[in-house]
Amino acid sequence: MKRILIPVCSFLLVVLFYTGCDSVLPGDPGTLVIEAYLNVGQPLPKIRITRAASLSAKRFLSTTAIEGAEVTLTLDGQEYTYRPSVSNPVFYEPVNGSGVLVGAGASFELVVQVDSQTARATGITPPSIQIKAIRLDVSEHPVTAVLLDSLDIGLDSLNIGLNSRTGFIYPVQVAIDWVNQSEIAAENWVETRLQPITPFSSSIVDFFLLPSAIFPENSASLVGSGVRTWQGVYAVPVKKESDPIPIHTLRVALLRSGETYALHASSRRDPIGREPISNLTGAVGFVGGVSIDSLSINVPK
Amino acid sequence: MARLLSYRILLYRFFWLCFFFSIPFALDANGQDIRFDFSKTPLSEALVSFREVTGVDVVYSPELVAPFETSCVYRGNSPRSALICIVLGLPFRTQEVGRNQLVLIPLVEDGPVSTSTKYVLSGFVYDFQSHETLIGAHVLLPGIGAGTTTNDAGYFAFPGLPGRSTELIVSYIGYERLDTTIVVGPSPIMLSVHPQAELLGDVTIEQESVSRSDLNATPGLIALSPRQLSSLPSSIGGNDVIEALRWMPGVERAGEATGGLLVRGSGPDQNLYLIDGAPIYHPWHAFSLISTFQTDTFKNVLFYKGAFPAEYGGRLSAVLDAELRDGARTLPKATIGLSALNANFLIESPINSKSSFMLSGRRSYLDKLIGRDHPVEDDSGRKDTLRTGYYFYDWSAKLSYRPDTKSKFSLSYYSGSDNLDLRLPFDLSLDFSSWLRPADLFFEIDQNWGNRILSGRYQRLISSQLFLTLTSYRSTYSAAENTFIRPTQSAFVRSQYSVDLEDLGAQVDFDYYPALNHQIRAGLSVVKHQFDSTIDAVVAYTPNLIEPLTQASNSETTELAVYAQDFWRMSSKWTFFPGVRLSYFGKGGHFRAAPRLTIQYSPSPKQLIIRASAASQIQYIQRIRDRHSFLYDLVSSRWIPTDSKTQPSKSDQITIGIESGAIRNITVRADLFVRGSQGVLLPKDEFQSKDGLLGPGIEISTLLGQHTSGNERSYGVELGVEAAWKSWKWMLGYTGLQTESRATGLEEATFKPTRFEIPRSLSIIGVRETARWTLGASIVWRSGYPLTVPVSRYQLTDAVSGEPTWFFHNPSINNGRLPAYFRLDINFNYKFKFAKADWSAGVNLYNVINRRNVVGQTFDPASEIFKPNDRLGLPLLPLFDLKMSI
Repeated sequence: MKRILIPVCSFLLVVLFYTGCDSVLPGDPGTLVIEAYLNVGQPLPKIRITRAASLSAKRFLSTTAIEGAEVTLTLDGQEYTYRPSVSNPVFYEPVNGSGVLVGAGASFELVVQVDSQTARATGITPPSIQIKAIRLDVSEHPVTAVLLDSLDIGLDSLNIGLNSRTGFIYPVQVAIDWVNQSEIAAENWVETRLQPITPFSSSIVDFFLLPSAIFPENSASLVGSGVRTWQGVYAVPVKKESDPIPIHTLRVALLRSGETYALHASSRRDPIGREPISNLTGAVGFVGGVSIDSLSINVPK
Repeated sequence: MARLLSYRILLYRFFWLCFFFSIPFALDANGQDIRFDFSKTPLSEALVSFREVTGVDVVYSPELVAPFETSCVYRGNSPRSALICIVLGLPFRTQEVGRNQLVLIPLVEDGPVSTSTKYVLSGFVYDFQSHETLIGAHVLLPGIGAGTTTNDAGYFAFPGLPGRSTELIVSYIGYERLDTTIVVGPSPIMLSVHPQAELLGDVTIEQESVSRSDLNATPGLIALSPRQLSSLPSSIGGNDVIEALRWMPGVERAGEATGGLLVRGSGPDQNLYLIDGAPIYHPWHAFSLISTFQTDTFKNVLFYKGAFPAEYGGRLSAVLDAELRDGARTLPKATIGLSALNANFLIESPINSKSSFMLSGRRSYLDKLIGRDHPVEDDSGRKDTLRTGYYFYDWSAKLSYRPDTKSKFSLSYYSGSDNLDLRLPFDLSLDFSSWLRPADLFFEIDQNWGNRILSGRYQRLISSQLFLTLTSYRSTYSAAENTFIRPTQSAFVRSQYSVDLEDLGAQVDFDYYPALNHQIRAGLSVVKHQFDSTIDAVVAYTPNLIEPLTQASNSETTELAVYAQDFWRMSSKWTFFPGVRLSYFGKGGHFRAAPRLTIQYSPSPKQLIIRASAASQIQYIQRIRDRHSFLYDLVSSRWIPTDSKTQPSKSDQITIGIESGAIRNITVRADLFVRGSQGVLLPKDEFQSKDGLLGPGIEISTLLGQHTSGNERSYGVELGVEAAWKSWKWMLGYTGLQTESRATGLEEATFKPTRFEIPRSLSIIGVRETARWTLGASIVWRSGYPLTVPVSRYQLTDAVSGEPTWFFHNPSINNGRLPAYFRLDINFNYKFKFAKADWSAGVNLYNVINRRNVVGQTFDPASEIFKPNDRLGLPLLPLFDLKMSI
């Protein structure tokens, strides 16, 4: 019996020691961070190249510029070399290519070499986008709204944190029209923005506002031949029910890009919950082609 | 005031119930004197009367006593003399085989004919008190080294035995061992075993002396009686089967007090839950705080980890097979109880000599204390009705009918539901009185979800070597989420979302006993699955900007399976348990074979048993949750069938286990296991969390689009030590485990820890049980859950506005871990008699040292200094329970 028990028990001890070892491993700081938007119709972009900062550093000290990076942008087969900006070394500027504008439908490749690290991004710039019309519908009177900053009820922990009050807001409905050719709609995405100067935030009411959206372009409604439209809502807070809507500036923006941008932009909305999806290999961040049109208007007109 | 009134009503109903139950039983005879006056009475009826009057069990073969009548007048106080009187002049003699048990032996036993004929020694094993059949009881013939376990009907058979007397041992955990001598004959015998509770006048728990090799033929099997389950520390919700299983090595839950059951690192949807053969899809109440498996309503619970027998299928990890009580066959019994979360009752009684029933119910009462509807009025006379309703309930019922000794029919019903009904102002505070006023801005949530099963089972002993079981059932799971939210005067959302799942199933099982060393079980099952889901929602951003979402998703398919397995005792040391399950899933036309084999080697059964098993399992439906919308899948994740595009998931598991009782009063069990699964659904984007109202919709293809195929692997060791000495009982469980997954659909190169991986887990239970007091303490220590911890942070600028935002860099998922979890619970229970009833009152101090465990952490990249924001676990909670039995 001992001949069996002893090896069995010994084997068990070894397994007991080995299993239960923690399989999670800490990560490696110092990742390259690269960001650039090739905006159609605009000059060659500045490229922001930094290194992710250690968590032990305070946030305002955390941006670290990279020295000595070899940066090459190839646009439609033409190479452009970059060097650090004198005024702000986190940016790299094109050495050649002065006066060159980024064209629509151009293929590009960005290669960044830092010591032994190589980061790369490729893509195609989108067709140009242009706002055709903006229509506003401003509520005549403010409405009451719950200004709930946080709602965290955890059954496990019996945590109940409520911090709410009521206030008044003017909901403003905005429609944006733009010209679109059906053949390009299938492969492009559009991001819309309503950016009032006066910000408003309430975690509950935010769900019932529509200040921005990202969607496939061909899912937007057609309001005429080759014209698509999107409608959104933003809110302007006031102190009293009798207060008129404050005169303010609204910036309306349209951005057209591809699916990689849509994934990146959608994943930027929850900084606490996640990291944005990157389209780079060897680095984090985003390098892509975009087409942006924006207008600033006074509300009410 | 309303709360006080509700409280009074509840107390009134409680005492009314006590009064109701006490009436019929107060008239019962006390049984001190034994008086019989039989005149040409069928012997079988006389023996039943003998049992009822004396409280002494008598073992006999109904077939042998059926032809005889008895005439006997007895006045006295000796059960044995009374029995002798009954059988006087008949071809039987009596023998005392144990405390409170006599056996009736036919005088023909020594005849020359019987010894030359081969018989099948067969019979049924019963609980002496309730006459419930016992499933999985171990029946041994030590004289020839044979042994078997009873099937779902409590039946056993040993073919090919000569017709002579032989020693027979019946052993069942939680029951006194029956050691008797019987005469092998052509008819089945009835064997009753006594619950150990009867012997606990001055409690001394002795180690079972029966050969341990027959206690667990399947590695990973945990067979539990309600008595055992009740002896384990209770949970927040009272006695709970699934919460009790948590004390077993390898079993965890996906949360501190809530969340599904994780077995050997599996996902919660990889476990099969059965009540009387019918699957139950969402076995939880109160947001998974407690389960639908209420301990007292079950007569038997089998829990398999990994290599479950071929009769079970459709899940990868574990099977919980529970059987409702048949209902007491001797005396009526009633129990009512009150615990921190619910009030409950159980009634069981014979209807006549051939039938019995059980009825139990449970309901939470929080809504009765705080009230459900609250009419309110403000200073201007404006009226409104706010609602704060939540309750859950269970109904379990079973009707058993035994037309003869060879047949049994049972009809089982279970219905359980949770109902949440809220209408509250948005700007509420922790001051309860501030809720109760008319409000323009409010939310209404009306959610209910629950299971309902109806199961019929017919069991028939076709011959002494062939036992037939027919089962048919209907099992439904339904959930509805109705929501209306008005956060501003101009915006609202209204949605109606429903999920319905229906299974119609039928199963035929045969137990065939071809030889003394073979027991074959085979069967066929067919299940029709129906999956329906609908949503009708509207979001009004402004009166002019309204976005609707109306969708319906319907799917149905049929699943067929055939299986066969053999329990082959090759020699006294070697046992083989091969089996195979062949299954076909209509949707996608998948056909799969799932073989399995268990081998047991017992070099010295009392000191060491070694077991090994290898098993494949197939799962055709998986439970997944929408990862975007707040309007649906809040309480009801969806079961999704595999189709032609998605493959069924498959799991292969190898287990090696040892069991040793080398040290007196101590049993040590250890299992090593390795498991690999393919085709499990994993989220495409682990970081995606619910972020909007309407989301992408409820189509099955949309849900599947949020997930991808992946592999999982886990390996580990489970160690369990049980010790009993005098009135003390100790249990120690340790699990070392690694569980990792890899999304093959995303071409991930490496495995990463799964969300609920727990590398180390230790639990210790100590219980001292006396005639009146039960004192217990339990400790849980485990590693914290994996956590994705940032390794650095960086800044990105917005393409349109140019605004900078800070983000964390999370290069790998689950690269960190929450702090270790530790909790100490203490409970004590006092039993007493009052008003001719048995009472027990208990207090459970949950987290008695009030350690605030960290159960979650988040990180804010915008904060100046990096530090986690902790979410803390439950504090010290004093919980009570009160139970009365008649």
